[in-house]
Amino acid sequence: MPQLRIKIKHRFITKLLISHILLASIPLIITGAVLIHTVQQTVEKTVKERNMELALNLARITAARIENAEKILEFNASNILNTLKTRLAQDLIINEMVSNFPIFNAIKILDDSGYIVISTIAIEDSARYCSESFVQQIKNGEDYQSDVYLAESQLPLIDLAKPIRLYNVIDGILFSEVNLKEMWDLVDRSVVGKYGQAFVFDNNGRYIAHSEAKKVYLKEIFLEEEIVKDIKNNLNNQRIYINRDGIKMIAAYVALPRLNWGVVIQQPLKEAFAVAHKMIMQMLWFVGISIFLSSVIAYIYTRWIVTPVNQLISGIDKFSAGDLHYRIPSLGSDEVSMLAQQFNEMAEKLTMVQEKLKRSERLETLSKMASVLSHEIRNPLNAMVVNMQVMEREFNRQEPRVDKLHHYLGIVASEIQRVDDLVNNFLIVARPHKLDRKNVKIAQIIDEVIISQQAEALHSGIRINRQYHLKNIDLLIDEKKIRQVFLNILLNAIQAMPGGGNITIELEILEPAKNIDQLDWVVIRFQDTGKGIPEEQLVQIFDFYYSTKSKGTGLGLSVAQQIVEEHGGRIEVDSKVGSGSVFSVFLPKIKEKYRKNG
Amino acid sequence: MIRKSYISINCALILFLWGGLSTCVLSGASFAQIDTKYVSQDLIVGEVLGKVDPGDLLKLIQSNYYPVIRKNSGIELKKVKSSDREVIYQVLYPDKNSSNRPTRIIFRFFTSEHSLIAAIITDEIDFAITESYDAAEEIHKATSTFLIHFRYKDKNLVKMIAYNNQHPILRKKNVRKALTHAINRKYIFNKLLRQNGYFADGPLSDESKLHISGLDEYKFNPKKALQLLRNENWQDSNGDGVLDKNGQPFRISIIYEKGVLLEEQLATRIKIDWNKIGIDVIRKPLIKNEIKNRLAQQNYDVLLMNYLFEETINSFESFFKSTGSENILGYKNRRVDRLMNLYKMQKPPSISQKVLLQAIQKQINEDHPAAFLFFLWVDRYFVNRNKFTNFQLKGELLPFTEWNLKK
Repeated sequence: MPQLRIKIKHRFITKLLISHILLASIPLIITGAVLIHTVQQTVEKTVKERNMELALNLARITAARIENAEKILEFNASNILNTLKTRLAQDLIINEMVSNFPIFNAIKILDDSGYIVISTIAIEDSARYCSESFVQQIKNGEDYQSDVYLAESQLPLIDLAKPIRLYNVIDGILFSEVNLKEMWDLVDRSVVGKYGQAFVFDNNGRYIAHSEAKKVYLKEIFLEEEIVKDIKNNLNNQRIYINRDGIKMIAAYVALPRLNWGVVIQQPLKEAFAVAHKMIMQMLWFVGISIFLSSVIAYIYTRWIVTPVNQLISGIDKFSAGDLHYRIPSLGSDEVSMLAQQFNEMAEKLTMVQEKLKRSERLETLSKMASVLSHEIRNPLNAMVVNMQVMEREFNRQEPRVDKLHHYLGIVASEIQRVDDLVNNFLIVARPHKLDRKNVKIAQIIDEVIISQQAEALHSGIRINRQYHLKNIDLLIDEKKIRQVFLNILLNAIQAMPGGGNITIELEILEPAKNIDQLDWVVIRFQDTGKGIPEEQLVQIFDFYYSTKSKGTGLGLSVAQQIVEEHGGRIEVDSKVGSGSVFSVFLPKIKEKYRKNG
Repeated sequence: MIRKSYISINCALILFLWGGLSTCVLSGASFAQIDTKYVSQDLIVGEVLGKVDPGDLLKLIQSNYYPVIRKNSGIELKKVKSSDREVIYQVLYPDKNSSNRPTRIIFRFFTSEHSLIAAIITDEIDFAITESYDAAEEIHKATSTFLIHFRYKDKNLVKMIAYNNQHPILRKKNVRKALTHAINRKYIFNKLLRQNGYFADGPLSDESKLHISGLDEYKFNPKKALQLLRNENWQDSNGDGVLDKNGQPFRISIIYEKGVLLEEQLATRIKIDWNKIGIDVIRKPLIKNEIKNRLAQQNYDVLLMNYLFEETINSFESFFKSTGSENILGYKNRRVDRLMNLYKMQKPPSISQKVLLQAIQKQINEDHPAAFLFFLWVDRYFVNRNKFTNFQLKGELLPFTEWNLKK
């Protein structure tokens, strides 16, 4: 019954709890998942757009810087240098250009044969001639732009040259070394995040400008072939790749077709999506905390629903365990409360019916006892009458024998005593009595009973063993009456073994319940090694005045059973002829508060 | 079975011996290479060839320009290699507890400060000195490996233009004054020095107790410069933009330390300023050794240089007296010579000595044998903090031989 109760209870609360949690959690999880997906998409889009915008911007400004340098050269070549014919003025102009525009590392004016006429840097005479192909290109009226090369200082440079025209005739060449280091501040400004990188590389993948300047000085090459290939094909794109250090990078790249350069803005993927990651984590926390809170609320709510049901079940349990006076307290005003109220009413009626039944049973018992008693009393009375008549005859003799008189008188006295005992036992059974329950340690009562009968047991060659599985068991019982029960059963066992033997008394709780508020059964087993009770006698042993012993009153076991039943318990007997008998006393473990409620 | 075991043991032995032999050969090879390679316990100092002559290294070490050894520490330097590009000193420590200190100090010379910057950024060297703000900024932006330690220059270290007073054109003091008036020092101060210094009006800074106020500062005044030149009959008679006199163009060359960023910037700026008043200027960057040779022969027109004037008559005497040992200017003024002699005849310290020194300064200012441009504040020392520890104590740089290598 308790197991069934627990199962019902658990199933009910678990189902309720799961349904509540699921109801609260599923929308949260769905909303969270949608939000996370949206955040990821949005951040990814934003990062890509921002990186591409930065790359485009860097590419535009880089190209603009080179174009500016070209324009400055063009302007000076076409408008100033051709009109300023003095060498000093030209010298001044080109030095001012270098001084005012740091992008020019050096500027030289060459004659139409490629010899350096003026230079902003000191030139050895042996180095005063420029290559034929370059001069020829300028003579053909084309502008000149070299590939990127490294100066002695490891800085990247390109050469730009423009023809100096006088009346559309090429009079000289304005040649400049453009210092690409001047673009480094641009890449520095374009770096995204803490670990982001911005760089420009030439058609060989060699860095021209890099936010980590060391890479340029060390002549490092950008090794991401796919990106370099795209740049060579003038493609602007975005790509996620794993770099040489094994870091996943997200890169936006833009080609500078005229210069054959590529511009890259890249950032570790982890850092790029750190915001998204943070938001997702926050969202997960939010969803997690919400689920936890909703679970707590669901648990509290479920308990609020289940507690009255539990109380109802507990009440039914107690009632079914024999505590007929227990009533379920008021549980509110809902359906469960109504059920509890109806249960209380039913219990009230049942108690009344049982009281009536008890009364009628008692009356029946009394009438049965009265008939038995009248029969039992008749025998001693007959014996007394016969002995009195014999005594009278003896008195009437001339010489009455005193010893005989004594003998007959003794028999009469003995029969009177027997009648007295019969009446006393009758009173025990017949007198209506109330249990005086107190919280007592059952083991202690058993011990006291054993001590009281220890001498008798030893005298009869009987050893009494104790096996208490739990010692400190408190029971709410009438101590005096339960002591009587144990005494009667123990005496019965001792008397069942006239030739000696063993009596084992066990004490245990039957299937200990997990919930201390629930009803448990305490079992006290008296096991003897006597001759055993034949099966046909087993049904009679609790009948009044049934005894197989010559000196027995036949009331011991029936009195014991009556007392135990009054406590809501029962006595079970298991016996095998030749092996012995086991008397098991089942007593309910009722808590005082229930008793009080009852 | 026994045969198989015997073969396998033999094989194992052969492999073991082969392995051991290879290891020995390889280790031997690497030991053999140590002498020609730089080892981790080297301290490499980067320097620009135009700024420092490898032959002057010991003097610079002794003057503590390079903080190498603490005086009386017992540590000795032994030069083990010397070339135009590299000078290697072996450090001989007296104590045995120096295993964690540099064993060799290598001075490596670069052709330009740009190359030196590249070497710093690529961790090729461990120590360098520059007075250029731009160079420091570039290094600071590119790498965090180097600590920048600022060391204040001597207050009387003046950046100046030395005119060759024996030069046919520069012999005239008005010409020299005109050249100085033509220089836009304010532009240089703001754009090139980034205001890291202050203007000079003479060989001594105004922090010096012997400095006198009221000296002509020869401020930027191109009109006055032209007027002074005209007064000396310099004019563009042939219309080529260059001033000339008696058919001779006003063409001078300016020599300066090759590859030194600030010197190059200054020389370019001075050239532009002088070009503007019609003076043809040829820039001649030279390495330190060449400059020294030119000066010894007084074979120069104009020289951009730094010079430290001490507040003593001896310092003035050696630089400005006609017979002075360091009179690279070729400056000769009898009055200055006489005043210096008079100064020496006074008993020190006397008020008359101070008056005499001030009179010398006034006369020098009037004669203007050189243009005193700026007193610069700091030198910037770069230290590889990833390689060394214990290089600083209470804000002062410790000698190299007390630095510890990071483990």
